[in-house]
Amino acid sequence: MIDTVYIEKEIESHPRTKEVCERFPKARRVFCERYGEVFNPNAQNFRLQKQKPALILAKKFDHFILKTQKGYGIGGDHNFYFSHMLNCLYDCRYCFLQGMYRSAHFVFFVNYEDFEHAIEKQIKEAGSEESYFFSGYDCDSLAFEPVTGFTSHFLPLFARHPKAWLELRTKSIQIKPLLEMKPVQNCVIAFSLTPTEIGAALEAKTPAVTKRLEAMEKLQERGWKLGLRFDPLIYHAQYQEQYERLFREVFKKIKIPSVHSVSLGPFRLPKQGYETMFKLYPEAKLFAGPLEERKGMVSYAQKIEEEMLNFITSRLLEYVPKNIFFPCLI
Amino acid sequence: MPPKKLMMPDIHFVTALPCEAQPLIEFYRLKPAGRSKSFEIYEAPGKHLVLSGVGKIRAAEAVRFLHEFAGKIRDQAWLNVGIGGHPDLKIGEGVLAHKITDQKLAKSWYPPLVFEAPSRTESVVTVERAENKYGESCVYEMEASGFYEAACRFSTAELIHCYKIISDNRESSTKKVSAALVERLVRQNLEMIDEIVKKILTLAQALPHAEIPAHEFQKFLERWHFTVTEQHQLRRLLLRLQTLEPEAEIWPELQLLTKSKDVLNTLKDRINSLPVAL
Ligand code: SF4
Repeated sequence: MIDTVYIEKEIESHPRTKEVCERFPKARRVFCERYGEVFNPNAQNFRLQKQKPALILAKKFDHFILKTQKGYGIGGDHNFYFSHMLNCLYDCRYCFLQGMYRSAHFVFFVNYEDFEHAIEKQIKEAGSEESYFFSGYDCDSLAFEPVTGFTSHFLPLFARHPKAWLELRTKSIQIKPLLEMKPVQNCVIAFSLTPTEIGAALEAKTPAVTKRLEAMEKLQERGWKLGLRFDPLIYHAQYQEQYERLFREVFKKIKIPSVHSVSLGPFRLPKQGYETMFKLYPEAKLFAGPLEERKGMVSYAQKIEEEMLNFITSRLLEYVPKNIFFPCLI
Repeated sequence: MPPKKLMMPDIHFVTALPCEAQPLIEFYRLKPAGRSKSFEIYEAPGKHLVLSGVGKIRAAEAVRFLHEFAGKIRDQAWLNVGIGGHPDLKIGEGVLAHKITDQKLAKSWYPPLVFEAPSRTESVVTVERAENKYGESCVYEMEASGFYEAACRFSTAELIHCYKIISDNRESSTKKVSAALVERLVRQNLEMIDEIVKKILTLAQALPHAEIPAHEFQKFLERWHFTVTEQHQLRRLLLRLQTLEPEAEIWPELQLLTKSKDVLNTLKDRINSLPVAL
């Protein structure tokens, strides 16, 4: 699966570097000074690299946690995100990472302990108030779990700090480590869900929605708190019946007491990201459709967006109490 | 407007020495196509070769020369074929570069290997003068960094590669390297080189193919005046329409319009009126 592992010389003998390298004994190892030498050069094509991305093992130096944009959250006032990885195993056509990075290589930051210190410092600063930490912004939180051991490392940290919430955002069904541990009550396993037809058309390499639902059921049985993320909302001629069917399927299996929060978000991209993505995939119907630019963001024409938000919100609220519903309107 | 498939990109070879070039010229049946004071170019349909002379600066200049000679088309495939020394790899072994370091500049590049490399891969170090000490376990040679940095200005890194054939090692020094030996070594590697070329060209097919044919676009520019920004918008709208409605016959409707803005608005309205499919 991984043919090339680039390794920053400084972390060559880091235990996590060694563990990851052992998982890919046949991969060529190429040493670099800083991951940016491999990841950032201009003359790269995300679409070509997506065919066979390499893995870059790196050390992160600063900005371990960052404040989320205003309007993003699931009920808390202090919201942060952090990324132990950049880029994703999956290939969703709407993914903003394609527009953000020049390279599709996976960057994995091995210095978990530095993230941990930054998180604990923030928790301390928040005192008695709750903080929310979102993982899965620049990657899928669980897809690389067998390689990164992310949850096994970070969940015990959050278990020690009940005032701090962790959201793992995923489309993955790599839930084995979660099933093997005691549920952490301040952790939300948030699954992104789209109707089957949209998933099939736009979410290459992801597990089917039915598989995600099966994984969620298992987590529910074990007592984990779930998040339902209908994000991004994708418009097309049959969207109403497809989302209605999706909600029926989801709420047949997932019971509200297991659900920590439900959110939805319209399909929106920063203008620059959209430009890049259009150049990468000019033949993609998603980017050719009825989109327009508003305040530096590209999204569906306002009328379409409003119609879709109203319809989906009203259908969703037939199943979900308002106090756990958080539409994301960034 | 029927979608236009772009042709498969060309392969551009860059070699330093005539003895490196000759086997490629014969294998690909390349014919002399042009020359400057410094460089000679050979070509066949879909293929070009430039003879650069020795050294990274000449390699970089040769890349620029060939790019211009071949019509300044971006995102072509580039392959530098040459010889190099390695402490212990055997003479005649060919390697693809997975890292290229300019020893003098202390700068490195990392050609992304997005295809399965059919040969061994190695770090390649570009030096100013032939290396006889072979300090590290890598290939020492004299053109790769100049070639790679220059080619990255005209193409995307995934399509630019260096293939180096070991001509000397600790057991057999550079003194034993003759033109006849080099020619023989390149000849022995032709099949591998051809396999690499095929892999790069296959990869290149994953580049986006959607384009508005130049003559179609020109029709718009001749009929209306578009500012540079509007031309950009026009191209984008035509591409979107081509994706959503490949058989669209919009020209008759547009011809009735007098202003470029109305053309853009009509295209936008048309796009927004189409049923949205996944
Ligand atoms: S799963 Fe998320 S991060 Fe991964 S490609 Fe899809 S949208 Fe991007």
